[in-house]
This record gives sequence, C-alpha cells and structure tokens, in this order.
Amino acid sequence: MGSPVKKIMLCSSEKEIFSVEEQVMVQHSVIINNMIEDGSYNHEESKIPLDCVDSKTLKKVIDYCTHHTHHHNDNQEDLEAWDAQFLNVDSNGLYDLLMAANYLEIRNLLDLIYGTIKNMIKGKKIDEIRRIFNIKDHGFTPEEEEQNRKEYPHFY
Amino acid sequence: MSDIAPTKAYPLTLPEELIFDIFLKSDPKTLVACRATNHYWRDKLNAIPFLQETHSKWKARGQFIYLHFTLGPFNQRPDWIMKMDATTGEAMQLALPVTINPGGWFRIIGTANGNVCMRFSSTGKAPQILIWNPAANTLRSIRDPTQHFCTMCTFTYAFLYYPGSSKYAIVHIFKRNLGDQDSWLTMFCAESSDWQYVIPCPKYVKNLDQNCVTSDGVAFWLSWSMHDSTYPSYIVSFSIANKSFFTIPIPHHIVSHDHRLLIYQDSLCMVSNRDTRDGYEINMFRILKNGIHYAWEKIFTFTGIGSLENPVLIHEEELILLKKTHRERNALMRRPETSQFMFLRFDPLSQHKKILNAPFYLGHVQLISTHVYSQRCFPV
Repeated sequence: MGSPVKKIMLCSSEKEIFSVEEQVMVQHSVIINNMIEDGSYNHEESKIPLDCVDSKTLKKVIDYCTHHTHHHNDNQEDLEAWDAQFLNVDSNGLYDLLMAANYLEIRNLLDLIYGTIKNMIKGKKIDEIRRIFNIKDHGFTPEEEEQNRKEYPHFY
Repeated sequence: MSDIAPTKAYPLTLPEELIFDIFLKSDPKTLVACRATNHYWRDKLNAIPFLQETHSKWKARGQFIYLHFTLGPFNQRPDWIMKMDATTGEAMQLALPVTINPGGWFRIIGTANGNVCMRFSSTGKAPQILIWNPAANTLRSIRDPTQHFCTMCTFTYAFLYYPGSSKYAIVHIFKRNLGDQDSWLTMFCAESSDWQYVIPCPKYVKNLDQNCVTSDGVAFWLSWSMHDSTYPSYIVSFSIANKSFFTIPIPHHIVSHDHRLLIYQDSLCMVSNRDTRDGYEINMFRILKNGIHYAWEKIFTFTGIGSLENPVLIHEEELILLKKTHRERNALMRRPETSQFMFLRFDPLSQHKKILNAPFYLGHVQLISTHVYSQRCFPV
C-alpha cells in the first residue's frame, strides 16, 4: 500500500469546500505552494479561504491544474486541444478565470488566458477593442480623435 | 495556446497590470490600435517604462540587419533592402512603404528603436523624409529641409533619440550656397512640426563622412581635413540634448587604410583596416573620455588572408563582416558581370566566425548601407 494522497481544502466565496490533491495545487499555484512551504497551512484543520473565487470558477481552476498535472506528458497537440476546449467560455467566465489565476498566481493558466485575450483584440478595429475592454470614455478631445482618424484610417 | 474567442462577448474590465501584460504579448499593429482607443492607454503605451519593457521582452521576436543594395542610378531596377535575420542569416526583400519608380531613389538615414528614418524621391518629385515603423505599419512624412538649402553642396543627416526618451530628432548639416565656407545645422524634433534651430556650425564641421553612428543622444561622424584627404583627422560629434558640437582628434599612429565608426558595448569605437602582404589586419579601438582628453584603447586585433572581411556593423557584441567579390563581364568567356557578397558573424573574443548569408547578384551591385533593426513600438 502506498502512502495516501495528501489533500488540501479550498473554500470558495460561497463557502463551498473543494478537496484537492496537494501536489496538484502546489505545482501550479505560487500562493498555495508558499503557504504549504512556510507551514501556514495546517492539514488537520485549515481550509484555504478564496473569498474572491466563486465555486464555478474554482472548479474550473482545479480542473485545469489537475489535468496539467496528470497529463503533462501528453503530446503538445492534445494539451492545446484540451486548453482550447477548456477556455471555450463566455467573457464573464474568462474574466473570472483570469482574476482567479492572477490571485492564485497560476502562471501557465494566466499565459493561456492572456493568449486568448491577445487573439480577441488582434487585428480588430478601434471601436471593437473599446467594446471588448469596456472603454466608454476615451478621453480624447474631438481634435485628437480626428487626428487619430487621420493617422490610423485603417483602424476605424 | 487557445485561439478560440469566448462564445459570448461581454466587455472585460480588467485591472491595469493584467491589461499591460497582455499588451506586452501583443503585436505592434494591435498596440497601435490600442493606443488610439483612449487617452490613458496612449500615454502609457507611449511612455518609456512600457517601451523599455518591450525592448527586453521582444528580443525573442528576432533581430535583423537591413542591407541596402543598389545597381546604380542609371539602372531600371530601383534600389532594394534585404532584411536579414542577425542570428540565422535568413533573408528576404523588405517591402517599402512608398513606391520608388525607376529613376527614383531612397537612402536610409538611420534606424533606432524599431523606427526607420529614410529620405526618398519618386521620379520627378522633391525629396521627403519618412519615419517608418515596419512592424506597426505606421508612417510619418516630414518635409525635407534641402528644398530650402543648397542641394549641390555636401550635406548629411543623423537620426537619433534623446537619452532615456521616446522622442527622436533628425539632425541635418548643410551649406546655404556653393560659396559658403561654413556649415549650418538644423534639427527636427519628434514633438514639433517643423525644422528648428538653424545654427552655424564650428569651423571644424566639414568633410563629414556620410556614415554616422549614434549613441545616447550624440551623433558621431569621421571628418577629413582639407589639407590631407587620405586619413580622417578627427571625429565630429553633436549632442542633441546640449545642441553642441565637440571633436575627438584621431591619433596619427592609429590611422590606417580604411576606417569606420561603430558602437560597441555602448562605447564609441573605431575600426581601422590595414592591408598586409597576405591579406589584412583589423584593429578596433574604444574611445574613452579621460578628463579633457581621449584615451584610445585597443580592444582587439584580427587578421585574415585573402580579400578583406570588412566589419560593417556590431550586433550584440559580435561583428558583422562583409566580404565582397566583384567579377567584370568577360565577353570572350560569355561570363556576365556578377557581384557576390558574404556576410559573416564574428565573435572577437573567441575569434569564431559563422557565415550568415551569401547573396549573389548579376551586375555591379553595391551595398549602400547596413543597419541593425529590431521590432519595437515607438511612436513615429
């Protein structure tokens, strides 16, 4: 019999508890790795409160970390296909995932989401980028806006 | 990395640090569009901290050397620029942002921070200056000052940035008429809309080499004395921040057959080539200011057999050498006139040499200038 898999408890903003393999989170999240290393997490009593991560997002984050821990030897194409499917979410879901990955410092997931947002804005017109990033007040004077239109006609 | 955009498009209101991380991964064209979306981003994306971060993070996107070739002014084929990868030597012809008709011409004044400063004329039209960012596909057209000065006299240009700034200046040294003994200087600054500061140059500003090197807001030219045109006698420099000239005398024992200024590890250097019985010897000197004097420190020497491998550029502490072989037309043997170039990377410390590329052309092709280029998003 091997030693039992060590688990840690993560608590979402709705106070839902998720039990996850410690190794899965330690490998991906800088914050959780630090907590385990400096002894601030007690396996007997502690649960890690993640007040700014809702249950739906936390489940996705755990899915990502688990898959990339157990399938890191898969070929690159398969991993990329899985990532593409994983990020097939609406903008709100993408935003929540990005904030969670940033909060937990999950570098690979952050890079994956950055890549998706980069592709969302690539080759887009100025108005489309404004809509994607929710820019309502551009702050340009009418003269500056006119100047932009002259300088970058292909972006309008 | 996922290319799939989210299924529904709600706006993303992201924290600033995350947005700027995404910008660092974006391409220059997208950044130009983002710049025009709002005033705050424009200021941030044009500011030095962001531009410097792209400098370090975008190195992996490649470093290139622009090679300007010509078949001469009376040829139907206009000049062209080859864009050569500085590491692999892979090369392709660069598409220019303007049409150069047969009979038209262009010259690259300089490249810096991902922008190319060039002067051009289409057939029958007055010259213009362009600041062009090839990666972002942005252009700025600037009036050429020679329209108002003596175009028959010698003149020169320099393109350089203020130290630690995203603002550039173009320096133009000219004469007002053929009889003018002294030179004049005028300068175009990025934030202005016209040429400014027409100032007289000191007497020593004459016979400047067309090749100019720049470092930290200072332009340097080799200068030949009126009395002896065999060797350059001093280096003329101009600081755009102080708007002042100064000279660096070249010691007699250093001058040789052929000379070129280069910037090596942020210091001004001069390479001099000397023919030897079997080949050539190249010495490189670093010029260091020591009080009011200058110290010339020899940093390396290398020799070669056969035709000269001429140092034309420095890229990441390695020299780019050029070897050129020209063969005249031979009617008897039905051999056309050809030009063979060979570009090599040379590490002066290990003395290791690697061939980058060897373009071959029919006809008498000349290399006009060489420039280091890497992708940046500095405004034009």
